[in-house]
Amino acid sequence: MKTIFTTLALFLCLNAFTQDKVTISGYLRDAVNGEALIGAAVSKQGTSLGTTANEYGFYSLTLPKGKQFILVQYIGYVAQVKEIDLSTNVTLNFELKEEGKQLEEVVVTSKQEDQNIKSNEMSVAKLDIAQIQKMPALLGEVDIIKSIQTLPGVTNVGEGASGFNVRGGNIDQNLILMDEAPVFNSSHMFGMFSIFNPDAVKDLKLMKGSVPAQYGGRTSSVLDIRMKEGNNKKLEVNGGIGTIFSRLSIEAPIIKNKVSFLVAARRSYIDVLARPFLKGDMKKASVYFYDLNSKLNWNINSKNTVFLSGYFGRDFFSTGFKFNYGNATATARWNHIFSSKLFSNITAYHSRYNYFLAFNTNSFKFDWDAKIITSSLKADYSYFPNSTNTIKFGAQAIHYTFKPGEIKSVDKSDFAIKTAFPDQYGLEYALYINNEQKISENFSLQYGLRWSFYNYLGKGNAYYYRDTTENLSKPLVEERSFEHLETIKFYNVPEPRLAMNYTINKKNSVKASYARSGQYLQIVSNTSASTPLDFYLPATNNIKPLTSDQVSVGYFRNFKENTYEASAEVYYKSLDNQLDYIDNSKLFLNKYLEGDLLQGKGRAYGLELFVKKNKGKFTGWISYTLSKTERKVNGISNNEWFLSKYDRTHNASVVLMYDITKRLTLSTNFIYMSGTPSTFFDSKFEVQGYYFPHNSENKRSNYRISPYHRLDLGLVYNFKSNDVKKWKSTIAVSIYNVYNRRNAFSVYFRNNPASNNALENEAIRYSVIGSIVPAITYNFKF
Amino acid sequence: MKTFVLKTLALATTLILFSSCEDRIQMDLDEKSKSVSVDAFLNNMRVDQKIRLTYSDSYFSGKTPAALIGASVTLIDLTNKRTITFEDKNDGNYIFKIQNTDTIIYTDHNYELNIKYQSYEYKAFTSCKRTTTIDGLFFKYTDIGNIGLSVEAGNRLFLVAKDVTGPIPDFYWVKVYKNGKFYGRSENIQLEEFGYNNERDGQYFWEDKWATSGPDGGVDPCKTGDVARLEIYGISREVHDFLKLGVQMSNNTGMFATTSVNLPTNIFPQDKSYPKAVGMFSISDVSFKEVVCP
Repeated sequence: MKTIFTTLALFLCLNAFTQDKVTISGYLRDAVNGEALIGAAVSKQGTSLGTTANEYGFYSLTLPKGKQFILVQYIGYVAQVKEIDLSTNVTLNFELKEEGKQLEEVVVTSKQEDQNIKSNEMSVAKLDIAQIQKMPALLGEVDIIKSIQTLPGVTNVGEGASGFNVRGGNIDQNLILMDEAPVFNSSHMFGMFSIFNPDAVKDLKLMKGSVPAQYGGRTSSVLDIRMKEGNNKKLEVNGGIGTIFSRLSIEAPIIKNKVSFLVAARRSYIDVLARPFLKGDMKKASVYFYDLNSKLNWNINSKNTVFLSGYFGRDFFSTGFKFNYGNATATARWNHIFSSKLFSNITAYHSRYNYFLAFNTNSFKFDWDAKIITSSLKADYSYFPNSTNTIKFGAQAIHYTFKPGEIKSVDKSDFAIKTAFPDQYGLEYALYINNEQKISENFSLQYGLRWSFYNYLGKGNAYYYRDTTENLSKPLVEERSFEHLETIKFYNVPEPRLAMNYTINKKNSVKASYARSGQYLQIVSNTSASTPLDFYLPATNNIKPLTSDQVSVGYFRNFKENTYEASAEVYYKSLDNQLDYIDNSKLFLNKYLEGDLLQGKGRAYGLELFVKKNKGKFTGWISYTLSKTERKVNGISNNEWFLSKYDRTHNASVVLMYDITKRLTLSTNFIYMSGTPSTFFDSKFEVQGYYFPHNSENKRSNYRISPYHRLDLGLVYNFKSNDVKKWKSTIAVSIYNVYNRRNAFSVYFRNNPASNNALENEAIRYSVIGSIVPAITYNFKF
Repeated sequence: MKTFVLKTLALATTLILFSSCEDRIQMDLDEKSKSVSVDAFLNNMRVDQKIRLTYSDSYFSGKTPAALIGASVTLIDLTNKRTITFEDKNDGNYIFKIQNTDTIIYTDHNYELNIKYQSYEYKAFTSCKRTTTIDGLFFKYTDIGNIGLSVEAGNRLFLVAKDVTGPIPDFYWVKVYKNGKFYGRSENIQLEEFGYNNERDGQYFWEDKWATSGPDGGVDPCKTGDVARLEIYGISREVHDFLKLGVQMSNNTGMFATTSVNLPTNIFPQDKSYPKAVGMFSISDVSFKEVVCP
């Protein structure tokens, strides 16, 4: 494998020897607030020679010496053209104005809106924050996670389910990065709201299949969320007063154009509002959450920039017990420009997800504290040898500490049980190299290799089990102790990545991609919806890493001067070593859980269609996915393939926004998804006077609950702004679940509790939202 | 514990945020294939021993499952080689009448169950599991309940019993009767496990048995003169798992319901082509005690 790396590097270096060329490089930023313009395009006007700005707004473009016209474009911004006589490497920073705010002297040219045709990226979903803010949302709260669920290939179990599912994958197969630090639970209130404050988010990109080599560690998708850097030109305040929570963000320069900060906070107050309506024990209920984003951005000089960012969010519940959970992340990044051709970013982060559960009654006391701690150091380099290659390479190491928890319980006679579940440690590290190469005017490639390695580490005990009949708990045969940092088990996964684009013409392109990914931690959950109590297990001597291989092919076409963009993609994904459980497994508080685990195969395939209207008064998109997701685990469902609980045959979304006037926007969402596959009992049998339920064919996912569909409406009114005070405000009215559908979150069976007849069974449809949910939110900005 | 926590959390969240709802719906679920159900829970109490054979039935049928009659049912004590034949009562029940001086169940003996009907044959194996002694059974006035939720004040039954120590894990099924009535709803099956994976070996049963065995989930205190009887059955791990999963699957409701799975069985058809069997063969050593509420 070393040979492959060396050959690849040599090949790329050969391309680097270019004569009679010079390089322009610099940053592309917003002229008003100084924010980096991620993905903005820089090109030699009238040619295909060009590049795009990276996640920090940096670009590098090598061009022939002589007089050149440099075109800078970014969707929603006024393009700029600059004439320059190139004789030596030069630094050129550009600041672009949003449309409608342009200065008179700026040359207005066409915007680059055909990036979806030209780029190698496929299976990538992007949404602008401005678009998301127009969409009707549950209780009026703009929700990034719910918004991306309107895109092809992205689904969710339903309201009240944390996270999202991409191409049939489990929620733990999504790498959610907030300023490069991983987030383990992306939801507040059991999935009702996302943890991402829209006022603090600058950019988001969901990669579903064609994941470049710099990303790794998950097998289904990467959701890369970049927070705002903070306005480095003037004070900016954003806020909103909503139905159940409010938010406020402040960003400002500390030293103009040099040091800036952002602080954004949200806090819910539904518990305070609901208290007068609650009775009995629920009167003491406390249910709220908060989150806080903060960021400091320091442009030390033209070659060095440092970013410090943090997220702290927590949900609290108490009604005679205490339960709270949340993420905390801290990230430090250092951008360094070695030369006009070499850019680096060093990232260090520390992330913690934990939950705490406690009861304290007269008779019983119980405390449970569990957490995952992640620390990482990452070096990413971007090398721009010439105008046809962009080479990215780097390395990352992540140290995981899994603390399943220490439980203290005390009964009324002060009989105490203290159970400590041993900590587990893992070290994941990877090297990667990736090149984006333009082979010809019409054909470009992106190819690379990520090689990930993993050591399951001591200090701790490793458990060894004997194989037994599948679907029975494996008996423990040996327990072996390991010292601090001693390797218990080592794994490695070579992860080749390939993407290609054949641009037929300005309007049409065909793309294909292949990606292999490894994942060294998996969530443990056997419920329909993930819960905050679910925990992650690392790869161990008993649990092999999850791997996936995915192939995608797509056709992309734009219509009417890029007013409409459309795509059709097909994909096939296979997975190995997905976790499952024996039928009577004890998932919680079980030191010997690994003996109850099974690992099996998965496969998912589908067709994704997407049409989006980008311009005009009337904008929006329609997405449709036809797909199938299956699993096969020896010991389960008669060893046959069965539908995954994340399988959705049909998944369609319509999102429409219409600017009635300059100030008034009407929006609507319609969502339709096939029902969740479920395993239902079809018979019962009698033992000891009980009638136990039974699945006569012992097949998993033998039924499907009714389809999910929902219509939402939203109206956003922009008040006339006060030119003196620069105060801008909007009022957003939303109606969620307009036609009051009670979508089934799950269907379960029970003996009728109102009957004394043990034979009287009933089926119950459980709906998390059983009514229309109206909301009103006032947003302001100055 | 987990179920309770999740239900409470879900309730708290959804009650406060929205009006989540549960609607009774009609489901068209036909039983795909019939199974033979074997209810063979025997014990060493000096009462007639019964094995019940029925057919499984559609989940929503509302009828008593049909009895399987005409079978030949024998119990073989593999330790002392004695074979016992159960008499077919033509109602699905197969009875062995205990004579005054006869003992058929011995702790730690191994047993085989043989069932033959038509051309089908089923076998099951188990051993008689030891129980423990009841050190104390008494009523106590209390106003405390489960996990901080208020319950009706009154006299509740308390059990003092301790697991038998030793390298073999012990599993127990505790049955509570009030005035001769067994509180039999599946959510109230009381199971205890000790020593499995070296946890809790030799420790006390310290739960408030009455509170967790009442007909309404623990809000039914006793009145003066009420007679409470408590029995502790020694059971095997597979029987414990069968009952535990039975409780879980019978009450697997709400937002965080787990995937439905079938209960394990130790009844095996002797040929793959025979109808499948469900149910359990269990033999228990039993201790019991009765007290009257003062």
